[in-house]
Amino acid sequence: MGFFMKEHDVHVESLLGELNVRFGPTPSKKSHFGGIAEMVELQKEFKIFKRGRSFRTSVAVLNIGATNAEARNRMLEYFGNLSKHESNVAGQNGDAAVVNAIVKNLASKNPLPVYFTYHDMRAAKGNTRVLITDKSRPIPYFQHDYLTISIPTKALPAAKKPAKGAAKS
Amino acid sequence: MGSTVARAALPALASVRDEVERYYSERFRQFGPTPLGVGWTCTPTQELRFVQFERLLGFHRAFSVNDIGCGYGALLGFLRRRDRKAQVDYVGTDISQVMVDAARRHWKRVDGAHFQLSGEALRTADYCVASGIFNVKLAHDRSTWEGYIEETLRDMYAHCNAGIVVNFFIADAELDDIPEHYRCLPDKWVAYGRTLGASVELRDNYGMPEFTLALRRH
Repeated sequence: MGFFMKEHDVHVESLLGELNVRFGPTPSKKSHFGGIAEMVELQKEFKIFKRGRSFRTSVAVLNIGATNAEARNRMLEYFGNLSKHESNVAGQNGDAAVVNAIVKNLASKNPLPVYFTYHDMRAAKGNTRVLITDKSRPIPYFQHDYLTISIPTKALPAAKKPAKGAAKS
Repeated sequence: MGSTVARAALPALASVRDEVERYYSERFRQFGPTPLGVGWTCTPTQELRFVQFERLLGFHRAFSVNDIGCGYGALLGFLRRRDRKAQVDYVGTDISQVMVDAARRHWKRVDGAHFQLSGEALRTADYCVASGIFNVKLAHDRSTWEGYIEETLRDMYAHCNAGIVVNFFIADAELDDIPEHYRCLPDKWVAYGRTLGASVELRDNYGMPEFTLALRRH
């Protein structure tokens, strides 16, 4: 995220958190957000996620990050870059793998909530890929199976060395 | 957003109206003519509510509609996109002057679209519809708010030829988690619709913790 989000890195958690609420388990208690059940209905009616349409476009339609336009735009720019990454799904780049996994899940008989998270792309070989896990329990405090989508991130590179003769502070 | 009930008809509820006006005007100033500016998360969730209206009322190719609490006129945009050949005779009313101003600016080149402030004389149309206007009761007690809803429903029904449609947050039996929100079970408003002489139809289970009611003239 670092390269794209820059000083807005602090908002990554809350932006992914918004996605995780919208795609989260449908609350047993009625609340304002309908979780995955709402997303299934939206998908049925409007086909928000579609093979060949970027994840970036669909996230923009869902208005994720609407209260912080700059952070939102950088997040969308980052998502728009996922097609340049590979994925752990054979023959699909990162963007296609995310979109196809969501489309398949929302159309399934028992759609799972979706958990969006990230991993350090420098940590191990293959970590530059988008990682899709069809069914797991990534959140210890939820007894729910999830479709998990993990996106590769790394820190903003260290600041450039100061120019020769520049004052040190 | 906000009810259209004629100001003169509801002197006792004047403070309710004023607070609702302040709430929605402030939201609109903060987020502009967007779903967030009228209290919804995004265009798809806003329009999924309109889809329920469409399914209940079955809009024909040519019809007139009063959109109560119209905000910036999102329903008009939805109707025009759903059927580009439809002839929609549309009046949007809102309690918030800034919303009405924005709607007028946005739709000024569209024939058959008119926006007015709540309290101005309302014409009778085939349908009166309202999305989301009963959900935020702010600090008002339940009985005051329900009085406001009753007056609004009565007023809407009096200004339709075919029927009205409205939606509500459904009640949570366990917890009234957001005190500013009004949640209820359908029974009360189904029964109230019948007292108006309407044929009542309910839609729920569309992925949202809500229900939508149509009150039709026989």
